[in-house]
Amino acid sequence: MSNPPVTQAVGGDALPENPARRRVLISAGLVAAAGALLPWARMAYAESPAQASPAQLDAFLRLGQRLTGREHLPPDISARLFAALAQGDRTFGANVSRLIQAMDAAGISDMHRFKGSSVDTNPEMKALAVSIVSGWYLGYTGTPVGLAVKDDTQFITYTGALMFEPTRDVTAIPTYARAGTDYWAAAPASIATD
Amino acid sequence: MTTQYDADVVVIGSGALGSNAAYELAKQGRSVILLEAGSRIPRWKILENFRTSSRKANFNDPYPNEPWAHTSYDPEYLENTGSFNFRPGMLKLVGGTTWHWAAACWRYLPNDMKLNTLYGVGRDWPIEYDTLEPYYQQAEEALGVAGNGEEDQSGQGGKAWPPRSQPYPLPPDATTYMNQQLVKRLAPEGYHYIHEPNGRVTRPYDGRPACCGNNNCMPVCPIGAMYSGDMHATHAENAGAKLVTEATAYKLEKGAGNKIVAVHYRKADGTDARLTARYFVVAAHGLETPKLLLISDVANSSDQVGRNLMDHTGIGLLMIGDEPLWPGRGAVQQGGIFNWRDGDFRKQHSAVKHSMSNAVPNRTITERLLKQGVIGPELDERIRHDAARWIDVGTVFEMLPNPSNRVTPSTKKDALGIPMLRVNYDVDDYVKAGKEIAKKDYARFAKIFNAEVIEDESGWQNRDHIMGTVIMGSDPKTSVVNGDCRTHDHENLFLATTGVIPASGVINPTLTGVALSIRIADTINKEI
Repeated sequence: MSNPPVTQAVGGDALPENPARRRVLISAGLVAAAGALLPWARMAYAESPAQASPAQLDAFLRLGQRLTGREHLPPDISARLFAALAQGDRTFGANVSRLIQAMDAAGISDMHRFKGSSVDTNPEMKALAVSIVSGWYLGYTGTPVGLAVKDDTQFITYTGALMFEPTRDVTAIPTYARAGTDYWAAAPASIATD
Repeated sequence: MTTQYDADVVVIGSGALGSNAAYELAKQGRSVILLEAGSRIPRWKILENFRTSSRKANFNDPYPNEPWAHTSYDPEYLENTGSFNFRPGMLKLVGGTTWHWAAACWRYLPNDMKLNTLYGVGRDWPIEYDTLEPYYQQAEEALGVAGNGEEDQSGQGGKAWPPRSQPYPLPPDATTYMNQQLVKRLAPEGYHYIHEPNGRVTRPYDGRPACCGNNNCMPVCPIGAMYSGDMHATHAENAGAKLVTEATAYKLEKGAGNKIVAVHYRKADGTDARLTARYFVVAAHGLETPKLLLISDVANSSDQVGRNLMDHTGIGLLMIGDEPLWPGRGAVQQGGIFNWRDGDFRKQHSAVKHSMSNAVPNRTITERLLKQGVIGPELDERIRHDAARWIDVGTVFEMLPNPSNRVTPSTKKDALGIPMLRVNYDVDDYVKAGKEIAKKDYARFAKIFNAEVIEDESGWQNRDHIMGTVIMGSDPKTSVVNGDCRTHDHENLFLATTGVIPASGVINPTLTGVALSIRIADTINKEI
């Protein structure tokens, strides 16, 4: 599940065989449009990162794949995550490039090599990596505030949130069903090895 | 000369309680107008709002928060002056707050209703369990309650209790694998794990599909298997009631003989209207109902309106046990431990209920792991490991009525110019003594499950069970309504709210509120 280093991707010519990449024809305008199409109008698409080039978004997608250990991730969700994290942070794009370079330099071609690496022990780089992983896993950015009507969170994805993948064979993504009434009485099929 | 009225009965509030009263009255041929401050929102929109919400732990978030119909999480709408941030998750829309509840449908015990006589604390109900029993049955049929009638719900491991005249309308849902395992380990330690009767139908019932474990009772059941008050708002309309939405009652008008002659309401566009009726039922929930009485200057000769506010203020325990239990399969909750539900100890400390959450825990677990900086392959492994073993205990305490715990109209006004809410709420020593007992249980639970304790000092938590604010009693000098939920001061004004409950016990009060509301309809029907 390892991904190659992606420094070249910033140049825009890496991995031509990657079918996901062909869908990354995202201009700044399209990022805004993706935001506008969300049914939840809170997405601050007007503030989406006009500075994000297709190459940057491509690199960010592959960084997300590397950080989460997924071979494929949806480019549209990646672009939405980039927009949310970059909102109000003009240095975000440059910081992402620095993280990619640092991971390449540390030889972190996959996340088995992350723990204890120079990126892991660099608080700034680690925090950025966690914030990107957090968006992919939780499906939102920001910090929720309980018992309130406002906070700085932004919606990224629900069914695409990676936190559900490790338990997909046992529990449902809430609101969806996995079997009929009373299925829950039987032990999960995996119980002996859990 | 005959007086003309706009309706036989005006019901203010279209939640589970108001809508059931309206339906029972309309079914008997009474002309009924049902006023609702909020809008009517179809289930699919609420569901999509939830799925695209960035704040899925916030149960009010998928619902409208309008300048003329706020949710309770708006700090402007509900301000606090006490030591505790009293902030129940209340909604304003057709169907009310039963859009997001877990549909627990317990009955009170006969002893719960004689708290002062038996234990010398708090207040008694002015009516006995036997008086309420037939209405409990009717309420259970209205809500489609699935339950196990064979258990001792007082938690003492005795005979089936409280007494029932008829079986539950629906059989209980199958016991989850998690609860089977919990019982195996808790029972030898003397803990009685009791199935929770609930308003999630186990087979098709009243146009609703059987629950198939979508695990989202809060904040919205995606398929309508779980009961919500909008179902009876619709039933009331089909029986001939007229539902007026975006209409906030702001004044009850007194007339001759101290009767209520009219209600004044304001539409979202600012226009006013006045409705006359023979009877008025205020069913605007436990905070708005007393506020309406106070700003109308009615029903308050006792000075008890808005006082004696009680929640089942609680605490929580989070831990990771030693075996895969797999919470998240089925509905979000299925039962609890009731050993401290009733007994002589209530002379010294509050009753206590523990319940184990069955909600899919992935979000809470993942948030925690990410805060610890766990990423990489370990993250997926830990999510699965912890999700299988997650034990989330919610505990509630019995509150006693205290006049200084109260809701009053705020000096702040909403977009319609109507005062909003101010609450003063503190937790008393009776509850604090109960907490000590609960903490001892927590230590035992951790030992029984060889658990890693994640959190056992949560601080006081809201439980959203609003009681006491228009307290029921036999003495007009110390209570607002009598045992029929009729205000002592105005013979044609009834209050359909859990705010009438004078002794809180530890059980979710909605079923009792619906039973009392059906009984109100019965009383009015006989008199008209």
